[in-house]
Amino acid sequence: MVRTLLAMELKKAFSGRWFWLAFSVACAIALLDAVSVGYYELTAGTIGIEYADTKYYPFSVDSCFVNWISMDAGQPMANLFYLLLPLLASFPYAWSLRKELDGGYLQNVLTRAKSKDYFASKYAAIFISSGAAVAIPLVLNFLVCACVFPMRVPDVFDMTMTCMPPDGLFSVVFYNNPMLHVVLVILISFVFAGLWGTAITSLSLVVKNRLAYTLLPFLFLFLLEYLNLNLINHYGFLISLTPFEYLRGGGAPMNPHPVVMTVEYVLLLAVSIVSLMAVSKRDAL
Amino acid sequence: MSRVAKMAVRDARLGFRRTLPAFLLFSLLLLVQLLSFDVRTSGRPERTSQLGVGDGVCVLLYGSDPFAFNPSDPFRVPALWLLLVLAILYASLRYASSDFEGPGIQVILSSGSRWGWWLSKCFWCAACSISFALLILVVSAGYSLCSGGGASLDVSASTFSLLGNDGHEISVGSPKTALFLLSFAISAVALSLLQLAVSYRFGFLSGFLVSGIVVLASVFAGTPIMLGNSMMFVRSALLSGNAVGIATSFAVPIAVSALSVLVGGLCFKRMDLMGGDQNDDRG
Repeated sequence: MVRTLLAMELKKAFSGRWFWLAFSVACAIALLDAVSVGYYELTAGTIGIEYADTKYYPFSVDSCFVNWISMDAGQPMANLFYLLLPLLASFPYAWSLRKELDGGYLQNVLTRAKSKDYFASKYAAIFISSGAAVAIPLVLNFLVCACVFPMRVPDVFDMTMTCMPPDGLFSVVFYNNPMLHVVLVILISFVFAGLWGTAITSLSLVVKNRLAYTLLPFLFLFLLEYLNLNLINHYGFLISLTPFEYLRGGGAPMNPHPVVMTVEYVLLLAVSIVSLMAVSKRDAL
Repeated sequence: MSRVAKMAVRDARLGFRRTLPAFLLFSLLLLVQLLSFDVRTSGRPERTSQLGVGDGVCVLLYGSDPFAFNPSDPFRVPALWLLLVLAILYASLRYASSDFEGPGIQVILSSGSRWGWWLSKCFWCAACSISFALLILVVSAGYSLCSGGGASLDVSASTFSLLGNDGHEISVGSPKTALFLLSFAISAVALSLLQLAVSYRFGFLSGFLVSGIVVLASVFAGTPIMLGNSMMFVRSALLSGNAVGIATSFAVPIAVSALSVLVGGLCFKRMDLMGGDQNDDRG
């Protein structure tokens, strides 16, 4: 039964126009970033390389692991992608539970299926669709960059150009196994987007207006960013509190801190689990 | 009183009542920024006087220089400016969306004029955006008077220096600051009308997504088409010859506003109000 429900919910999530809208916007930004990085490489990026002895000292900066959207600080599209990421994650299917509650669809389903099964499938579909709307464009960007740049392993001696300090998050993985670093960064973004989607769904159980429950958390992130940049950083704590920066593999003005990230992920997860448990006990009538 | 005027008065009355919490939170945020700037810079040698009204406006709407790659100093987004502009857009759209159901639909039917209803919503968006711009001025004036900074709209060179614009020794006179505030208000109106036009055709979330992308992209691209550029103090022609010119910062938003009202009205006139599921999807 759970499998049938999950398949049904996934089909609804991935065929909806809101998923395709978010996915298209994210893909457009990711592709524009890859094209602009590639264009820069073809025009300005190679100047001077012919004079260097690349046989004995290959430029590790000239690598897809350094130039893909998550590590690239030189293109504005990379910044735009991460600024819009939470908004795009809330578009695909996070609104569906509120709509089903208001429209009476939920009562019909709950007479035919166990409420726990249904809500678990619903939350899983929201998690997967929100994550996919963000993670697939990241994969797409990496693939396009890999078509333009060689897969050179970044060298720690080039760290001023790779935007990854030695004490950065996952820096050991980045300099030793960059492919694993790409997978980790995409996975972290996927999980954040999924949890953000389910947290928005949880909020929709309390707040009825779709604009309010979708946009207010997004505006709250900007408030957090403002407090981060203007107050917390000012007193010497150079850590990043918002996903605008900590989801990026590198190139952000502040270092991602594993504790901050864990706390925020656990908070989002806790909100989702508590609301899932509460809504599962709800009477269908 | 004409039908349009009646509907506009209704929208203004209901809209400002429902948006009151947003106005209060917005004022609080402005005060926090002014106070924190004051505290942070009080001991600095560049600080020569208390913040005047113009200084306050500059601190609140300063924005940031256009995006430039520097590996040793990564670009920082102007978080406060983004928050203020996005909050204005959200507040104007919030009432428009909540009035597109139940009693709001009844008003369309009973008035018998879709154009009238549409124009009254445009009036609401304009009134809301201008009110937020005025609020910035009022809070700056209130703070300045309380802290003994004076009532002048002049922006001192020391304020620019404290905001990180060390390369310029520029002070801006009162007329230019007033002109900038006017261009801020007109650009905010244009953005909110643009998102309103998109909203009734493609959904309210889509409307916010479009205006949000324009605002966020403005941070990175210094072209006048990106309306956010006319809303940042640092990018207006008041400060830099390379930035958005005064004439452009008025012409582009006025053109966008006129197009949005016209195209949005035409689309709204043809819209199926009994769309059921389709209307639910408008968010």
